[in-house]
Amino acid sequence: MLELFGAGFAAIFSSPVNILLIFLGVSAGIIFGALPGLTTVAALSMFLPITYGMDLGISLAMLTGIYIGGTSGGLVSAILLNMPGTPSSIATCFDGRPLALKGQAGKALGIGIFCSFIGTLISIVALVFISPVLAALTIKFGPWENFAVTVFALALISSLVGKSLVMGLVSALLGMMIATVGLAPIDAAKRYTFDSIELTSGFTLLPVLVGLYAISEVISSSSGSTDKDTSIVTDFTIRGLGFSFAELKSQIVNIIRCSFIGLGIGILPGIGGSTANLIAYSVTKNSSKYPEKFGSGVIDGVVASESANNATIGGAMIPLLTLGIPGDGATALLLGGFMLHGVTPGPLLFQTNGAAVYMIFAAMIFSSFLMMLIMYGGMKGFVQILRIPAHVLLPVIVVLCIIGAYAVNSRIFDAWGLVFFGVLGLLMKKFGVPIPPLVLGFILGEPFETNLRRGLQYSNGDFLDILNHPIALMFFVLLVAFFGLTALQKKLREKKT
Amino acid sequence: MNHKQEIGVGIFFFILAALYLAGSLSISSFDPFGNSTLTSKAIPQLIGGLMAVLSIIHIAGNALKLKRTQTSNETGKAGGTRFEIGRSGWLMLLSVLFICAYIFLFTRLGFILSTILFLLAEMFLLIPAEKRKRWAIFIVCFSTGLSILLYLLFTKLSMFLPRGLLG
Repeated sequence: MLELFGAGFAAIFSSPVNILLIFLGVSAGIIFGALPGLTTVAALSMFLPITYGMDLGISLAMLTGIYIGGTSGGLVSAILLNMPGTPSSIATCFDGRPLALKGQAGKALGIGIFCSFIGTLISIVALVFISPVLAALTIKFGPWENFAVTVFALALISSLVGKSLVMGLVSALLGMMIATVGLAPIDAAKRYTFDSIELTSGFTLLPVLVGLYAISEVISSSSGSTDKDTSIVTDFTIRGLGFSFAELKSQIVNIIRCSFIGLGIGILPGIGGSTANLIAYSVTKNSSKYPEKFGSGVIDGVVASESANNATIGGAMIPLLTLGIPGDGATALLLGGFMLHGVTPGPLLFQTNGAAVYMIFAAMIFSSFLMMLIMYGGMKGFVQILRIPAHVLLPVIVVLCIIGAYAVNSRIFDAWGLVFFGVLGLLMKKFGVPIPPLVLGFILGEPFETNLRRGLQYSNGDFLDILNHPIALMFFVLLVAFFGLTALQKKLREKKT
Repeated sequence: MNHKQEIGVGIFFFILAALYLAGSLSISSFDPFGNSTLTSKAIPQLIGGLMAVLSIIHIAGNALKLKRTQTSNETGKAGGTRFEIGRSGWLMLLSVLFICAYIFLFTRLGFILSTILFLLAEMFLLIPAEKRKRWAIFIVCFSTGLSILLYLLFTKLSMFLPRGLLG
């Protein structure tokens, strides 16, 4: 492992262009994360097509740099503007903003950046040690096991996102419907193509993702973000790291606890940083000796939120790399990054593209350090970027997204797809239908069908053959247990109220 | 969202499922391995069927809730909500139309010209009316400069962008 790690670092530092690309990725991620209304997913959507001409390793290194930068950048606007740059930094506002108003913005930013760094590092260490073991296990999976995993992931994400389990499942089915457009797996029968040549090759992942996440976000932001009142705190300085050693010492348990909360939540598909920061904040508040002070400006709140949201990064990468299942929108786009290079993440990834995987690990560690340095060094610059008006920024994002969609296959159909999925995403948000299950349904639709049909081929059409596969059965048992527990919890909650 | 809207969403998905199921009938079946495996029709029919069932559950659940709230609230408001498009709605609608026009002109006029037009239109749309005059020169220069810069940058990155009229 150490040799592979060394090779990963050597690959990054072999060329100044690689370092520059990762630097660019982290900086762009921080800027997008810091700008309210724009998220890490929007940054990844924009940069994904640019990585098309690069090698797999460096393109993924750049994209993970954006992911790390984007998750961390949200704290800037949360503290200085009282608007979380990304949903991952909602809880950072609770105590970060009061600290800024008390004249301690430097301290809030300093401890936030440091905890983001530690949270990311802890999750990367977990990723590095857990992923190869899990990959070695999943390599033994046959079609039934893979089928069970896809069903498990689909059901899990559908039930975890949004208020309604039914709507979550409907959204996942809608994603699977979209995935069926084009040629069927195994026998290449035409489905829902309406004699259109473009539809025969189906919808490409990029327009679907960029449309649902970035274009819908831009269209909804265009409705009024220009009139937002942004009372930005600019009068601050960060001396040293921004906090004292004694303050850090008092937060060590908090940092570790919240990092592990973030890591655990990151591994589960569909929850991600937006929930992790809130759970970590509430756990920290409930276990604090002075819970009444939370919300008035205590660093514990900033520490909890920022350690947890960054720790979801490594967590979400574990199922992506070992099973090919993205945990959230950002990892779905990273999956898109792999697919653009003709590589499908999964257990075989460590054997077929081991060098690229360890280059990604090395790049993640490098990006974490870069993120910390860039954020400490360039804070005043980021504050200026927060002043860019929306009427300048939003049209530029649209242009970049359309270039990206068009450039992948040089066909205008993908640009139309972008608008279609942008409007679809907007309507889904308006009517409370969760988007992540659709994305997962679209991605897992094809492996679901392929593995089910292949499994039935191997067993001569006997579905009960799945009973001879204990790992597949285990996933189904877990699924039943999960739904049982969710229903039980719901009943208990209803009884209480 | 109120229960009536939820029922509307459920009906939409039910109709979608029905149309999808109807479309699955025209998929050609090809089973080279005998009758032992699934054909390419099977999964769409499974997806469509499940969606139809879930939509009915959603409609029924919300209809029951609606009935309960109507009976418990005797003085409940009659009539549906009025559909209004405010300024924000118009901005969104026009933004979508501008994006469609941009894509339509993308290959016809070429990247540079269509991008300049789109950036000009979208920026003037989004900027508050009272600031338009002050920002006009910046918007014109920025739109033109950025379009040319992006074209040069992306073609340098070996990406093909349409030249259109300038070709």
